[in-house]
Amino acid sequence: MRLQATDIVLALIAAVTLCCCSDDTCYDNRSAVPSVFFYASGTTSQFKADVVTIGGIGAPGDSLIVDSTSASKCALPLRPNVTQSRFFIKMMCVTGGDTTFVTDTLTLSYTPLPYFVSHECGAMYYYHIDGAEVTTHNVDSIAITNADVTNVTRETLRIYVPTE
Amino acid sequence: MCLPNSVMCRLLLFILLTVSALSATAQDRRVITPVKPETNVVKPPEKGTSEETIQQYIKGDTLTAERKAREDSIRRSYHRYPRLTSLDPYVSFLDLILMACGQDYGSFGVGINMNMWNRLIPTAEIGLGRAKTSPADMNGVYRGKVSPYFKAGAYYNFLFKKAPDYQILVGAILGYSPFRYEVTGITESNSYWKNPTEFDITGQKASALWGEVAAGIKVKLAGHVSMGWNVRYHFMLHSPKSDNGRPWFIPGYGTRSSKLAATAAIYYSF
Repeated sequence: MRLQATDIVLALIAAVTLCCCSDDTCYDNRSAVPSVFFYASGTTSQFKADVVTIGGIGAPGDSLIVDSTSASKCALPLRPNVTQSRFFIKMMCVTGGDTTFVTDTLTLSYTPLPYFVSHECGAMYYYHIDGAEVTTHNVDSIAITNADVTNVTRETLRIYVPTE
Repeated sequence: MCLPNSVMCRLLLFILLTVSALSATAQDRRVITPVKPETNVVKPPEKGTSEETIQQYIKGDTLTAERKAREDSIRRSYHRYPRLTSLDPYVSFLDLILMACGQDYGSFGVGINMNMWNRLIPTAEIGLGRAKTSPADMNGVYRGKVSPYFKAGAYYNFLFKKAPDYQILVGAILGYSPFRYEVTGITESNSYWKNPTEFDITGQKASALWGEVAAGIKVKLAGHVSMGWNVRYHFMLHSPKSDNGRPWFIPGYGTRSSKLAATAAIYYSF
């Protein structure tokens, strides 16, 4: 059993090959965004609201997050360098045959948390929702279901809307 | 009818005896073992036979003596190594080569193997590890500060009947590392609010405890110098985590997501 120089080289190559190969692709979300779901008041069933417009108050260019004829959920990106973000929610409201558009304001208070996810996905802000307030022009109520907002998509907030 | 006379009778008798002798020789040949002159020579005991066995032969207890002689023979064939066969301090160097080839992290350790009976080899290692990486897809710079690690365990040498120059080893090792890391220069661009922010994650401390199952070989290069390679499957027993995430690199372990690692080391045997 004599060791040859080629044996050493082959063993080193095998060891290097074994260790060097890794996948650097990020398969997770690269941001943490709270997911908001609409529910019919007094139920646990999701509700598809008609003609919904949602946007951030103070967003550059008054850009909208949702501008759709119907929506049952949406993702509300939070401002990372502050502890509060405000959003307007404009929904079509039918009362006694009259169709009107009613706007409510949703205020989310939160604590940003710098978080290193992985070598592949890097770091981002996670958030802890400290509180949520909403005006009740059309919206009935809200409920925080998951206060911790991570890059895993899951329900954060429920908005209850009257259906009649 | 003829009457026998003395000549005829003798002739006939001779013929009969000759025929009878020839037939007997052909059918029942007797084998006579010659007595060899060396039969009575007392042979010296086989080299290495114990004095106790020799005395038993002399006393006439040949059964016990032969059993003892057989055991002695087996013992001579499979050499029993002393409890402390050798002490083998070593330096692991594979990560040096890998870092020279562009790897972003590395661990460098020194340790000692205590070869007992050329079969059981307890091992202990102490070392330092560091990392620095900023891949294109990552939005910051990860720095694993120079931190120590400790390992202890034991190998089993499957070539325990052979000379210690060549070993095939399988072992179980426990590792621990208290370490620090930081991620700096993180930029997060928000496509909606259009206000990219920059932040750091600093002063992170964590500790990890892990187990390793290793398989490897060790071969003599020259004189007292040997070289060893092994492949390790490792798994976390206590996974490091803080409020600000999980570390990417653990000294002595490698990257947290990896399950396999390889090491190479140079040994000096005492």
